[in-house]
Amino acid sequence: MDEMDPVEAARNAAVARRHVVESTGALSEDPFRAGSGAPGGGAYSPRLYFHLSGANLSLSQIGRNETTQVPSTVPLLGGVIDRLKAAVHELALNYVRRLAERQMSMNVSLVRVLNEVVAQTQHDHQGQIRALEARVQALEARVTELEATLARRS
Amino acid sequence: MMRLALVLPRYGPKILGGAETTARDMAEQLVRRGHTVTALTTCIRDYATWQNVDPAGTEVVNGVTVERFPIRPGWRTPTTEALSGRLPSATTDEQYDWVHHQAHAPGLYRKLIADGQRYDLIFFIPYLYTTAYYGSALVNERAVIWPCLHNELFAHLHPTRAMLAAARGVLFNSRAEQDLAHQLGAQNPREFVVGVGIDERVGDAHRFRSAQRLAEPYLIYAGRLEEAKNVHALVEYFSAYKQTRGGDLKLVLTGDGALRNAISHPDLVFTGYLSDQMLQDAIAGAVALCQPSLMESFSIVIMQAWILGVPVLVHAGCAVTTEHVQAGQGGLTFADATSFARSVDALVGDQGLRARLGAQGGQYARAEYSWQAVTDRMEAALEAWKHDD
Repeated sequence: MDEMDPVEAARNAAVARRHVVESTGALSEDPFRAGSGAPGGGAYSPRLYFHLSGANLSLSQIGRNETTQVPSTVPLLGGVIDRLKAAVHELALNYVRRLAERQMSMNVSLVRVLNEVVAQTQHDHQGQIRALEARVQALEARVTELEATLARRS
Repeated sequence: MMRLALVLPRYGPKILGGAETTARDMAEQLVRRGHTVTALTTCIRDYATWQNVDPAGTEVVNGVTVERFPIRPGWRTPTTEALSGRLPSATTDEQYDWVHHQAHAPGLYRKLIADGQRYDLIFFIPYLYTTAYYGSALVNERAVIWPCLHNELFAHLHPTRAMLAAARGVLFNSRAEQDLAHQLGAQNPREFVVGVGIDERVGDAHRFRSAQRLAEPYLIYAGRLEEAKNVHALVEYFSAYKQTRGGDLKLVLTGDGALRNAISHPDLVFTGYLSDQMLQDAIAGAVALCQPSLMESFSIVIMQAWILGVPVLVHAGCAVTTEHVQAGQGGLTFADATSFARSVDALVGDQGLRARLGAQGGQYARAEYSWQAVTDRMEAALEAWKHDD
């Protein structure tokens, strides 16, 4: 009996694993990707789509990384120092958050603009290609027709 | 003692790369503890071309048996390119198609089908290649994924997340990397954070300075000069710093890469790739080691700097390196040109601070990431993966 192509065997194994994961609910939905509005397509280089997707993923994670405070190692006064540091930290965060919110709002708008620009230019680009293809086909038909006419005359 | 296998695209003493170095070092440590380790790999050396360079066959490298299998040629087709372009918005089916149209080593799969049962556990490192996607599916019940996960597009793909969730176990290099996997919705019941072991080294700053004819104080970056490592941001922040502060501070860039010819500044010093010892010498003499990368699953070079008593400057946008800095109290963070300048000012102007941060980092690196500590954690994880149901 012929041996199965090992690449096909591996593909089958990966598909089987996918079905097990899906049927047992072992995998929850990727929360970042679920909200990603990055357009895909093949009109531009893969790098463009990769970076655009990265921008959308980064956007969906804004605010996830809260900094953690390292506990003081000073004996006795450590607790007081920690509370003081926490209060100062909170005060600083208050001001930083105000600025960050404005910056985030702008980032969100910029990424959405990028998504729109890529999606729109991609659409226009494909429309132009289709129009050019139709024009080339019409010209080819015309050339064939003229060649036939010339052949008849000669 | 266990019979273990590592599956990875590249293996050998001449192969540079975080995942490869991590795997090789751990394999050799496990051999020293009496385990039998086989590396099942391909004949390539370079991910850009995937060309077979090393001969197929078997050799023994520092006690590790290495078996190499060729990549099947002609795999890169217009379909591969089209699927890559569509990947950011690809359906789940298209994501699996994308995996199928990448480079494959059929002999490696054949080996796993025939001999997979002979190993107690089989490690797949890193996650992002068919060696892991397809290889682990063939031996899923004994597959441990050692993903070296970064927050990048490929980490979000269904095949990646399914592999992490369904394998026998998952081995993470850091807590932040584990958190990322959970954020992706991929949680495995048998996960362990082991970390990466660091060798105790010494560096001779004078030797590096003499070799480079460098008398000025310097910051150092050690790694590939690529956009993916965010080196361009470091250079931009450094240039802004020099514009406002002046002074004689230099930025030494070791390594090489696509950005080598794209970045220039009179205060940049390019060394190219350095020998391992010369790299230690270079780091030892630095004001601080800069790690601007946003995509690290561990960052060995940070630990190397701390072992040498040198503080680090890391990008605040990277959860892994920031976690190290917070836990080790061995450096400062930056997020933009302003915070970079502030951190550099603090370090340049205060030798006491540099010494304190470097010493604290060294203490942390030795306590958490000595080979003794890391291999102990690894052996505990091996027992759990083998015996826990």
